[in-house]
Amino acid sequence: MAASFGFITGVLVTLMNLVNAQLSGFFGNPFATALIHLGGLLIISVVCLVRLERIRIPKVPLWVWSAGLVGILTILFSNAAFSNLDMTLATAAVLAGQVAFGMIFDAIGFMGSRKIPIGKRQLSSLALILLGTAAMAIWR
Amino acid sequence: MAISLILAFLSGLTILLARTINSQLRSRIGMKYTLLANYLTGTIGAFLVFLIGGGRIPTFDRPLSLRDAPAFLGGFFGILVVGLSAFLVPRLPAYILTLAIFLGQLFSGMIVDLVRDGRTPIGKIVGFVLIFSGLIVSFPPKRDSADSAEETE
Repeated sequence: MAASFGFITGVLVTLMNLVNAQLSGFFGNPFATALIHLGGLLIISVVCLVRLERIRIPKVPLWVWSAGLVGILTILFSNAAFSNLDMTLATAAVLAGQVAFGMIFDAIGFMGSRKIPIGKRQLSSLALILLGTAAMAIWR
Repeated sequence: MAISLILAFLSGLTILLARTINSQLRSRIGMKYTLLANYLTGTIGAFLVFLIGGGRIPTFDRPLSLRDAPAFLGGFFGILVVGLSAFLVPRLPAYILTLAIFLGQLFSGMIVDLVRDGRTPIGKIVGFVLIFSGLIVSFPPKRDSADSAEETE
């Protein structure tokens, strides 16, 4: 049951990439990226206002606030990719990237995460995913 | 095509990077306010990027109509995706959730392409099977449902 919601989440990701690429077709990638963020900001502001809680702004190093800036790159990159490639191929490449970099993050224990060395299992998984992406790119 | 593929691949890095950084903030101020902070810095930053890049918008070849309204729903879908994932993380083992989301993405992507192109080339089906096997291989061999759900969003 919960797994089917996971599947639906994936479908929503596709819809998001689809409409975002469409918007960047209208306005160009940079302005579309700004509009997409603005849309999200409006919605999350409403969500936060519905049940306002008092929070204290935590004393954290400045870089902890940088995820939103990294998110700009995500939208810029995926708008470019999903505008120029098939949905399936672009999705496959994003997944390949997540698996590959996830492996590296795990291997170095990035930001205090549990260290998982790169083993045969990880490498064969990545090889299969890259092979699958290549099949989609070449065999059209 | 090569550049687009590289950008797609790199977005895998930025997705993970943002998620990892966010986990630091989320443990302190919760999901909602982490998202608020993300979208606030993201919106300001994205407008700055747009302005620094010259602030130009391409001329329209036709006026926008109500038919184009769905194109503006990206922000909404984005919040929905993060919210749903956050809801599912404690309810599913991390690898099942990741697998389900990836499958949903690939499968719906294939449907979109099929609707657009009217066909599914064999390479896509072979690729799908290879990627699916790759994902299965990557998960821990012991399918223990009590496996704690980790960071997956």
